Amino acid sequence: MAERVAIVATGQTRHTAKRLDVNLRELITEAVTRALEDADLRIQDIDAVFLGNMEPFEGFMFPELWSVEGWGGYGKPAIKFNTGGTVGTTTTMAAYYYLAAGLYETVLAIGFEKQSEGHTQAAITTVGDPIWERTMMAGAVGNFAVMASTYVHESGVTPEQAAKVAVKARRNACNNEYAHLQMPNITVEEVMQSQMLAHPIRKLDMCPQSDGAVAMVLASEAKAKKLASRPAWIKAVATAHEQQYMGDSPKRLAIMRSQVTASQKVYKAAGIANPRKDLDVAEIYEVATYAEMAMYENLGFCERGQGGVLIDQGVTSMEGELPVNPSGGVLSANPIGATAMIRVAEAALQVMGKAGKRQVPNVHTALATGYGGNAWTDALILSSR
Amino acid sequence: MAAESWAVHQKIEIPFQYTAGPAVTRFLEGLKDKLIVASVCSKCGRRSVPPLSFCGRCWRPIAEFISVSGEGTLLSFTRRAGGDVLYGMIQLEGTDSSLAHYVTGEVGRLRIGCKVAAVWRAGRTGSILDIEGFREVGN
Ligand SMILES: [Zn+2]
Repeated sequence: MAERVAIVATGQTRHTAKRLDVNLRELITEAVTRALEDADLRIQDIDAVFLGNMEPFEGFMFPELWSVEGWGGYGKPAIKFNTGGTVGTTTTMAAYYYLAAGLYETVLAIGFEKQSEGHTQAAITTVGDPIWERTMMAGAVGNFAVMASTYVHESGVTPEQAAKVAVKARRNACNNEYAHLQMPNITVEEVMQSQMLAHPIRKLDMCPQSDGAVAMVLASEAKAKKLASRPAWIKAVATAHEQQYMGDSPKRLAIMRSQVTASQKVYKAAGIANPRKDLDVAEIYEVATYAEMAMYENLGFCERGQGGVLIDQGVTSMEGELPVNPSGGVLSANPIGATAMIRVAEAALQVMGKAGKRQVPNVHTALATGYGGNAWTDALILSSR
Repeated sequence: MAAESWAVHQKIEIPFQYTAGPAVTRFLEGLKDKLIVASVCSKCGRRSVPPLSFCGRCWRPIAEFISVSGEGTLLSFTRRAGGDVLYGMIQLEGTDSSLAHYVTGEVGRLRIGCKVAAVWRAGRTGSILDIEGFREVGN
């Protein structure tokens, strides 16, 4: 039987386009220091460290070796992960598995990326198949644009509905002191008139590139009860893989097999029958406005084809029935190696009642997702009980 | 935030080669003769372009390869701002997967679901670019 595991503390940097005042190691130290302070722990109290990053975005391999003293790895058991966009959730889940197995009591999980250092789109291009994909489609924007065009065709969502997602995200971000893009006065018109990047995706439909780090302290049941008055218990985790090349799943985004599989697994394990009613908040890895609406459908927040209606009705706004991304989401900060873990940390803050100005009232159950790699999904359910 | 620290600028080039493997080698060789090779799994029947040598869903080797038509359906497309080329995913007739390639047309006019056909280049070398792209065909 698995041990119960909880998140007891979090720390983040202020995510931003370029952190020119610190190097990568110093950036990570900032987040780790804040997480340790939040838990009232010293680095000596940590049994093991798990960290995630998407190399070679910074332009070099093994960033964890270059930065070991910056994340407290000196003399400790540590494992580094790289699963692409999902790496932050993968790393969290690895920490969970070790704690659930009873091998450690207190684990530090870290996600980091200093995207300004390397050439992210060149690095993303290396993800594509060298024979038939790199030639046509390079980088994240074109890739998402192709998916979005299918989703628009299948669901009938409009550019205006997409723009509403962008407005929700950047306005929510104003309540998050760590968010990269805070745009209090953003309007639907401004989004719809922003620069076209790749049809149908405009600049404000897409996430930014950020420098940033996040750290969390996870603990076994006995430790968690000592370290936090209201820990965020990890009720369920699931991961699901998708296709091996782009064309392997012809209606990608409209039908996201890995989102459906992973979310249904965690809902079942956590006893969630109706996600829209049973979840109090969701922090999802949305990447682009169109993707957020597609994810509403694939995560079971609504019926197929209703993603646009959900945003029109304000169901996912801060005041709505199921607030999605009170933090501002990936659309408001994307230090890739940290991004999925930020979703978990933000969901944990909501459950712990420590989300400050972005706190949703009375959160007991939260969903966090990671998305990336080859259309791969991670999902976690956090709970106050 | 403190003042900016110094930064060092470098550019790295990484020489690289990628081994195509037996199934994709058939595909690339076929292109020289205007043939598009698909794989067929003997268990689930899945027909893939580009072809696979192993079905990971059924966990068995694939031994059957057929050539399929250069005509198909446009599933999605985009155009990068500032460029005049469109690209998208094309599902070739009789296959269960789709292929990324260039498409000729206009963003406002081109419709998802339209029929397209491969346009072949002269002087083919066994590259995916032996197909110039896909153009809309009347239906
Ligand atoms: Zn098969």
